[in-house]
Amino acid sequence: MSQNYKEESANETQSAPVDHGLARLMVERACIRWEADLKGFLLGVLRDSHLADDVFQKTVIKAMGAADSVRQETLRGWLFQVALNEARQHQREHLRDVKHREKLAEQLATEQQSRLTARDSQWMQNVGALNAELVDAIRESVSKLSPDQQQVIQMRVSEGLTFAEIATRLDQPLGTVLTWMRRGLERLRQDRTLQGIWNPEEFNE
Amino acid sequence: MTEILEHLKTPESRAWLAIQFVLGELTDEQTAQFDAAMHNDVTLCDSVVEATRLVSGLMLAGETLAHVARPTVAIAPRHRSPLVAWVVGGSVVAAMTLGVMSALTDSRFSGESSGSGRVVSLATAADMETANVYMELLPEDGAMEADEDNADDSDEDNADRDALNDLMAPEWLLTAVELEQQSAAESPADGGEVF
Repeated sequence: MSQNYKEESANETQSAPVDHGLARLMVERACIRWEADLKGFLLGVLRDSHLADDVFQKTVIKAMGAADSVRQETLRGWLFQVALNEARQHQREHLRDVKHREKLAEQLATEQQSRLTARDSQWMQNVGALNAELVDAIRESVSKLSPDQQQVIQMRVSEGLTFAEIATRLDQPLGTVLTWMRRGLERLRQDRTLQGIWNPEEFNE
Repeated sequence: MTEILEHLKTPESRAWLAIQFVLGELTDEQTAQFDAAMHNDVTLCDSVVEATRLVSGLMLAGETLAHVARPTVAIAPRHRSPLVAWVVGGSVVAAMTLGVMSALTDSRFSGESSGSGRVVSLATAADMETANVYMELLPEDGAMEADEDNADDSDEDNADRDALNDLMAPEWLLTAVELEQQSAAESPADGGEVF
């Protein structure tokens, strides 16, 4: 379907859509094509797969309602902007609904500490933003990192420790821990076997 | 804003910033700056997608590594009493001995059938006892294997779901169309700003 979509997109005029029906169809197709990327983006913003699902729904509704205002060549970026706006709007509305200030402060603190969980990671697979082959490739690439880099990545990502906590446990300066993390991630980015991560559009095709 | 812009000059620094954003390491002010930057740069949004994908992949890869490291059959788990290990070990030795004896003497024992109709020896009873002891040692691992089965089922369910999705519009799209049509019917299009 993606190949046919590309051919049809290439044949469409680049001028602003004049027919509302065609515009909505274009937005619908784009939402289907980039569903995994948009959901992955929303998960990164919201750090909760349930919220990401809800906000993605709102994003689609908003985008279809405003389909006349978008051009073909800027559609992808426009969808991301709509998604980001909907995500922040959802968070603001959630905060306004909280009645007690003390409960609000507690929830704010909780949300600031919110992080991706194993359930969220599995959700990324379910929505097609990640597959088993890529996970295997990541595992293989991580095994090639230095022990320090592997340990920091494991402690930060899988165990959810803060960098300060990791530095304390390893009895290392915070800067050292951050450097290990950053260098390890850079090496993963340079690994050609992980190109499926670094090229979202190609990953979806 | 200057602070965040300084970190957007190279692909490596952008990727690192996106990782920090996804991990929740940025302050509220930095997050607001990052949001503003994303509004003007779709490639930065792609960086967030990449970061989310990487962090999720690392989490899954790390879980699988921990899963593989756990033994699937615990003959003598460390947390169990050594007495159990002796019982199991003794049963295995007894089974082997009796098995050899049965092969030499062709003895009869009406225990569990081997399934081939052949006479079952006393060794089978010992094997069953060993198997029973194994089962007593396997509650945790049995649960883990059950999780594996469930994961397999889940993978199959997902595959089936994906196959269906190839043939029909996704549910979220149908819902979105219905809601959008309802809102359009209730109020005229105001051409309001999206942002």
